[in-house]
Amino acid sequence: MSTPGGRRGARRILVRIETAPSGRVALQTAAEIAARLDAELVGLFVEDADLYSLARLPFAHEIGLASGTRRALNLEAMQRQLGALAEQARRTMEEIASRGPLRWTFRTARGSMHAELAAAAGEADLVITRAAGVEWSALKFTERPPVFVLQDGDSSRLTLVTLCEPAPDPAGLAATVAALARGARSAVDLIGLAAGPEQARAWMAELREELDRQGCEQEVRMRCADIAEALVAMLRALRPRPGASK
Amino acid sequence: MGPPQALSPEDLCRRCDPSRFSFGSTDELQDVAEALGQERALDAIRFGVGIGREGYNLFVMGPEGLGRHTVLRRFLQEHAAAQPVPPDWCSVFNFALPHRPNALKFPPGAARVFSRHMERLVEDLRAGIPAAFETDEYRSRMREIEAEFGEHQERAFGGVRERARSQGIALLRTPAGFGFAPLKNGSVMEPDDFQKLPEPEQRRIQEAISALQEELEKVIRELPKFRREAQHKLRELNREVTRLAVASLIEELLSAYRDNDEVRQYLSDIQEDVLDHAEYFQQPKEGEQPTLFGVPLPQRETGESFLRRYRVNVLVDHDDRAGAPVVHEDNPTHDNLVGRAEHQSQMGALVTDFTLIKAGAFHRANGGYLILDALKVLLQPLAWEALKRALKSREARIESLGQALSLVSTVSLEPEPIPLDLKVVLVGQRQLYYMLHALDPEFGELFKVQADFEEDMERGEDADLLFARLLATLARSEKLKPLDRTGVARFIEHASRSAGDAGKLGLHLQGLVDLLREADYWAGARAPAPDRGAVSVTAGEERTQGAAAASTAPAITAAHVQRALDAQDGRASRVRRRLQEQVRHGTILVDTTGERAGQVNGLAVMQLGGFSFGMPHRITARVRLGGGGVVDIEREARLGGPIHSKGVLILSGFLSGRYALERPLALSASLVFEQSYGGVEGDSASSAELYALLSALAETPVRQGFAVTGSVNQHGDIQAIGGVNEKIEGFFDICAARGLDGEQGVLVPASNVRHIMLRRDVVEAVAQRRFHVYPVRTVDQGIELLTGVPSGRRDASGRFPEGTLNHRVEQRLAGFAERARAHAGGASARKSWRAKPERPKSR
Repeated sequence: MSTPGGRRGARRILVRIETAPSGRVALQTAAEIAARLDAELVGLFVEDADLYSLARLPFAHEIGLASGTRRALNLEAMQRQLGALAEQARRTMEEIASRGPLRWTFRTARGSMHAELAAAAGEADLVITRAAGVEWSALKFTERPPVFVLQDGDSSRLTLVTLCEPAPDPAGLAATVAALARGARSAVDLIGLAAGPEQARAWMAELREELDRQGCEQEVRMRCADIAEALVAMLRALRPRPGASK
Repeated sequence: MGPPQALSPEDLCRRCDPSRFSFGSTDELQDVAEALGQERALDAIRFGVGIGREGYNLFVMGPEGLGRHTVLRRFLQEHAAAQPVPPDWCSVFNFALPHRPNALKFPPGAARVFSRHMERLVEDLRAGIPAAFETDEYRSRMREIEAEFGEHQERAFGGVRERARSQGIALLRTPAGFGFAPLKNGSVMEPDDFQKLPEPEQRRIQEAISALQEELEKVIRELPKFRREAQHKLRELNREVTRLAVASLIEELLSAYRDNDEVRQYLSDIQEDVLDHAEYFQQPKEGEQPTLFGVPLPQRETGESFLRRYRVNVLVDHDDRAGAPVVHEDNPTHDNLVGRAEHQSQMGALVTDFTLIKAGAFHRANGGYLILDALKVLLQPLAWEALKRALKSREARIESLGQALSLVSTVSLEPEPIPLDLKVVLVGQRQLYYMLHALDPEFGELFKVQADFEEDMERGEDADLLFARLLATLARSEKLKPLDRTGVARFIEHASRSAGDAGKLGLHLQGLVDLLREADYWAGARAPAPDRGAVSVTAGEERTQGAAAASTAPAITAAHVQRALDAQDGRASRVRRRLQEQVRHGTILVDTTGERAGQVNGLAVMQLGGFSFGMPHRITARVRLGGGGVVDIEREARLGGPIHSKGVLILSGFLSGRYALERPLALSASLVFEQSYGGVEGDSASSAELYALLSALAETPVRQGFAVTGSVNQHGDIQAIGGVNEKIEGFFDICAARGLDGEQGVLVPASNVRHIMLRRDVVEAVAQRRFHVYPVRTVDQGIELLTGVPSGRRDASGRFPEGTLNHRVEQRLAGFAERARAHAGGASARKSWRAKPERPKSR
């Protein structure tokens, strides 16, 4: 999609697919954003290699989160579980994508979740993921980093995260943020991961100027976190939801 | 007592002289204020409506067409207008027992206002509650709770994770939970590497993992407790925040309804319920598709269906009403009376709630009057039981037919019953009233007032004028032309004929209205030229007068009325014409001239679809010696009804009492209605049968120019019968078709003379002495007329004079008795010979 300034927003959107209910909300949000920005949607399901290693251990056990009981694990069982989850994720994506015209692909990767996510994210403009389970310090980008759209079960609010160093192209970032903000029902939160206060101030000033230049009238609340833990705390504080519990 | 004189033309039709009226047309007459001739019924209605005691409901009875419904409704509406307007009723959600919706009472017209208040309250809450949750204070406190829970959770899992990490073990998230695995260089150790570890190290790792697993199990088991605590705190916070938003809104309503304790309680219940379910006020309205960045989101489960519980279902709304309600339920099914809970289909299942409750006639008429057709109520399954139950319990309880019959086992609603203060008026036939009284013991308790509508009223000068005003009222209400005085006079004569009594006026309003409309039609400018052949077909029937053909008439005249009557008659008379045709052609044997012994023309009335006409029937009698009395062939062939059989049996009593006091009645006689293939009922032909019998016994011929009607008792008195006009006219038509010879006529009971209102052509024939009607009081009078032979009375010696008919009969019966005795003597001799004991034969 072209912005008023002639710049184009995201062309490729990556969504980390999980099979939890909140993961489905992330996928729906991703599909809607992709449709809105006329971008390609890439679904990524990571089969964590550590889980296979765990399952091969002779004493491997799993403690159910819902039941609190322990049961033995083996490789076949783990393969079946992860395979079923991957297939379920693919069907979910297919079903959501079938509701409208949307270019989409689905990928299954096996390896370290952060490594695979970082690798796939390097090819995308936007990455849509749940914040939970992401260790920001483990995500390493040497070149142009993507913008992360955090989606933790509430599709009405929009929180974007990106790195300040290396920083995405300010004009492209502003175009993407402006496009997303125009469709949002409330203010957009944009968080930059900066090395320090100076870098943060410079990044925010440059981006604000670019947003103004592109005529973004929607409210974009910018802030910076200097370390990944601060980001996590910041994210946690961002989303009040009366009557609901996590 | 000699033979009676024939009746004069004046006796045969009591004319109404139009010149008696001072008005020119009915336009000059005032409406009749009350139902004409129904003073007794109206008094009963007045009493029934006025008395406010339990069980004083009304049963208004009388035949159809008397205007019972119209009179009743008009009376009730006038009476109800002065009564207070009853309260409104609503059905609302019961927060304690959702399947038992509550009923709320309001002053007239206030229920709808309350409904609007509640709609506005919900709208305000939908705006106010989300706003309350958007405050910084709320966000801050909620974050605090969430953070506390998160910290609990993080602390619990983090502690385990850290302890694991300190021992070189990783906590991994598996598809369904967690697992522990040893680490090597920051990654999960491969199994081969693990196998290469020294055995003590392997054991240590496994023991450590086992201990960590136990610890994690403990943490997970405690999670729900943390979650519950957090939820509880959050709920309390939500209630606190919601209370602020709700309280001010509810306070306004509590103040507005401070005089209504039940409503105040309901509002308090709402307040508590809203505090518990604030989240439903934050979801998008039904029909509003949630969107993100303008792109529609899949529809989430909304709270709109939940918010239905705050709606108000106005069951009874008396807004704009003046006075008490008068409800006429024309289709009194069980559900239409008691109300019902409708259902909606959701995901293939039928569901209901209090908003789908519909009021029944009991609710709508509560505080007023409910008019029901008794027969319709009885024909509807369980409607009668529901009516009685409601009247006895004095409450309107909504219960489906399925529930009443215990056919439905699924959960349904049991709405709170509403107190019932209702006067029920059943309208029905008299027979129904008597049957209900006899068969249903509760009926008498619940319907203590009977209002019996008269079918006729006395005729007289004042009554004629009242009747003219009734016609004026009907013509005006039906927007018909007025009647001139001749039209009124003809109507009065017709009303007398309808009543079957020259001294009365029939009050069958429906018939009068129909005739008025039809006369108006014939008087109308657009009426097509009459098809005279279709209207008047019988030789003796009155012909439409030329005046009726006038295309425009300012008023309905006698000619128009007559034409309407002729047309009615013509439309309905096909069967009569066919039967008369068969008589004329000799297919049905009926003599109208000559003489013949043992044969009399009887008269019967046939009723087909509300049209009745008279037809002569040949009745014959045969006699012989015997001991069987009088045999009714109709009865033997099962064609005779019980009343007819009774009439025939009376004949035996008459014969025995008059002719066989001193000797046995050695008679075997048979009686039959010739060429009658349908059923015969009634005793109006019993005198004709007796005449045939006497003629046969006396071997004296009967004049066939006469027809006879009248029942007879054991003393030989002739008694009144019904349908006298139709019978006379029926025989007259046959005679007229063959040609009147001046000798023909009809013998009717003298007690029926006041009922005679004959057609104009019959009366004219009588005036010209071409036809006669004789009022007969006794069998002796009748048989003298029929045979021309004096009947005779017993002299001082107790014998009938020779040559008289009674003497002939007595002699014939005496001969039968003598011969019977002779036969009996011979038989006795034969019997004694047969009875002689046989001696045993010696061997």
